[in-house]
Amino acid sequence: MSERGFTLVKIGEITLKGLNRKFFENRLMDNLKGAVRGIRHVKVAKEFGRMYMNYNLEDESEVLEKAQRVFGLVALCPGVEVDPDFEKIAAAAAVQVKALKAETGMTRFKVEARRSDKRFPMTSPEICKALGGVLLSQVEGLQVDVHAPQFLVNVEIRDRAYIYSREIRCHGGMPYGTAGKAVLLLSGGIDSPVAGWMMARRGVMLSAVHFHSYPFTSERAQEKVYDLARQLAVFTGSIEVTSINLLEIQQAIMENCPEEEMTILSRRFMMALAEQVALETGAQALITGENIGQVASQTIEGLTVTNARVNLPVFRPLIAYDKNDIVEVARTIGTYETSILPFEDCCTVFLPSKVVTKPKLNHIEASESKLDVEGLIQRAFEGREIQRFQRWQQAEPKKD
Amino acid sequence: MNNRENHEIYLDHSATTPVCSEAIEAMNGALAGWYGNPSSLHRKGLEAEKRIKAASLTFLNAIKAPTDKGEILYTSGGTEANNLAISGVAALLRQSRRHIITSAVEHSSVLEVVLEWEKRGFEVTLLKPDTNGTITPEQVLEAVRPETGLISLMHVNNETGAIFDLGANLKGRLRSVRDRDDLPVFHVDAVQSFGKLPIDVRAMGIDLLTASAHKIHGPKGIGFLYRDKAIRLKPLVFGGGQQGGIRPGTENVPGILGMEAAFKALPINAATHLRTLRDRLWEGLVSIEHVAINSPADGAPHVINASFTGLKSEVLLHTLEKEGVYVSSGSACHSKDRKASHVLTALGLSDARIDSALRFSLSVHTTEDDIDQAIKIIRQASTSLGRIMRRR
Repeated sequence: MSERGFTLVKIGEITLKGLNRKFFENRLMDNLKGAVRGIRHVKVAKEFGRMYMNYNLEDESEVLEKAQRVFGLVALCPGVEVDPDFEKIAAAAAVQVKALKAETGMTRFKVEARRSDKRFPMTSPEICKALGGVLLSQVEGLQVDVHAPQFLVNVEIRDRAYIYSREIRCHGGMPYGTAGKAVLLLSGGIDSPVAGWMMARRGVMLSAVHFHSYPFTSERAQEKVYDLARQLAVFTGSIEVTSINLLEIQQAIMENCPEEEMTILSRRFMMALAEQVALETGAQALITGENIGQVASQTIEGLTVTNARVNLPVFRPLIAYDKNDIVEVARTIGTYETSILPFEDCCTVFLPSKVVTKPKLNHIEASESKLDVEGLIQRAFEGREIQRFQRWQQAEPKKD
Repeated sequence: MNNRENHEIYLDHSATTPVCSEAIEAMNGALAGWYGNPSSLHRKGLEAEKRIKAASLTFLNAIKAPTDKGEILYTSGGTEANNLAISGVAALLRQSRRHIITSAVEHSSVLEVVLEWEKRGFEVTLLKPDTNGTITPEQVLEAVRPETGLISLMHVNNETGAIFDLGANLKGRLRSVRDRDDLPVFHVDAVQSFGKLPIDVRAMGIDLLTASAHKIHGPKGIGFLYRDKAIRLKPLVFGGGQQGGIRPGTENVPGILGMEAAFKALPINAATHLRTLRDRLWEGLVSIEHVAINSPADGAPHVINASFTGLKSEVLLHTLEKEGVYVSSGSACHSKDRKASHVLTALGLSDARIDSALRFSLSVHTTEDDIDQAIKIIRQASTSLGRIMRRR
């Protein structure tokens, strides 16, 4: 059997939970197992109130990379497991610390030992002292610093001994699927995937809806949205995308309503349709990538008018973000490159030359009343197409 | 997303063509049977090598090239062949001969390479076409200087179908006006004309010629550069010395045999058949309101570029696609980046004409019925979109 690697999984915020802590932990375990599924001989386990992964050492980088994307993890601490024997522990620790020092240049350390198995002949302070001495003599240039160490060498002794000194930061948040479900209005832009990702990180399960005006927009624009959904699925495991054609609605608005109200009216239809999707899929809220002041329609007045169209709460996690901050998140989560591809999902034909920046609800409702709102919404909704994307997989059309 | 009740009408053959059964069969044979490496010493290698040689002979004959003084260099397609021709020649030009003549309407695999050499200090003359998109031999002769080392022109323009008059034997005429031995190298990008228009490299004075398989119902990923052996080329890639070291790498045997079979399967009267179809399409298009043709009347027999003023080409394209009619806006290889076509811009057309331009390109498998059906659909689409888009 090949050498086994081990990683301690730090779960942060969940530990603050009271009676329902088990619920969060179990969900996190499931999500973590899902993320590393397909790698042979990986074990995700919970023992003595801590979470661990065991795997063949040659798979370590793949395991860590995939696990890092699981929401609810604060950090991953990869290390080694050896027989509970001080000689072996010392030898393994020396190898590990030497590598860490070469990689990061860190020198000031402290040993922390935890002896759960009291059959082990040394006490925790004795282990710390002895191991510190071994490391100082075997790795050149090290320094013990118990007050402000640059790194900790952790030793845990149970039926086996575990040694780790690296800590890889993860995204934190709450386990995906522990905070209800919401419908994300996903466009091909930079903002909405980031908004969805941020809500997903808080444990909210996503169901995406995407609007297009085919044939006034291209199928490639839709493919781009699907690519963004695929990237979100890398974090969430899977995601469903409902595509809805707005063409008939946009045409009706263009023919019957003032030009400058085109954007705000379309937006209200999108909200209404997203709410329909929410009702159908059992989601309890909507999520948009809206951001105050970014475009003419994203004013307080504009948001008030679009908000008034729906009863469900609308979450706008980016509302006070600067564009640069959004771009930074988009780059970190891997959606930026796709978002800036040049396929528009909103047809320029319907872009008005001017836009109302301070719409009044009664005016907008008056314009809307000229349209067969219910009929338009019903037809658009009935023409919807649903696709489900799985992590690391090609999409397959969903069967009803 | 599409309701394709209609039968599919593919009118985008200048982008690529469906692979014909003859080519598929030849490739199957090559993949399963002639799998040897042409460089291997044993019989399997020899078998493959023999078949490549036979294909080369077919192509040399197709362009009336001398089989002893000319050779076929197989490449990954038109883009690589154009790169090899231009960079291969340019890299070996003397300091005193670093002037290249080409046109503003070339394919980007010529234009971009030439502009790259301009950055490296070469002088470049970009000939401007007339409003028909045509470059004349006279223009070229005027632009030639003692320093000119390379002339690269396309035979048929991929967006408009405009033809460069190779029959005028540019190089022959150059010899009569220019009293020297080292005439400029003459490269012709014949990707759009190979297999459709007659080519005679000897009579036309062509030194290097680019052809591609997937425009003539052959597979993608294979093409060739014809080389007059008197022209020296510096390789773009280095390796095991295949194809005289000019284009090393194990030959793409299935691709080569597929291309040969596709070429052989072209009907002899292809041009006549295409011409009839094109006339029919032309008549149909001009009978539609707001249509303006951007192709010259005497252009290639398989391409028509037309503008639908007041519409956006992309929207019209998707509307036609919904009805099963496939056409192109701009040139398909780069229509993704949404820049206005450099070819139509060079013709001096208005933005409204450029933004609403579509290219229809035919093949020998297109039928008159296809054309009539397409015209009907195009007329409907143009009218119904016009109701929305021509309002403002």
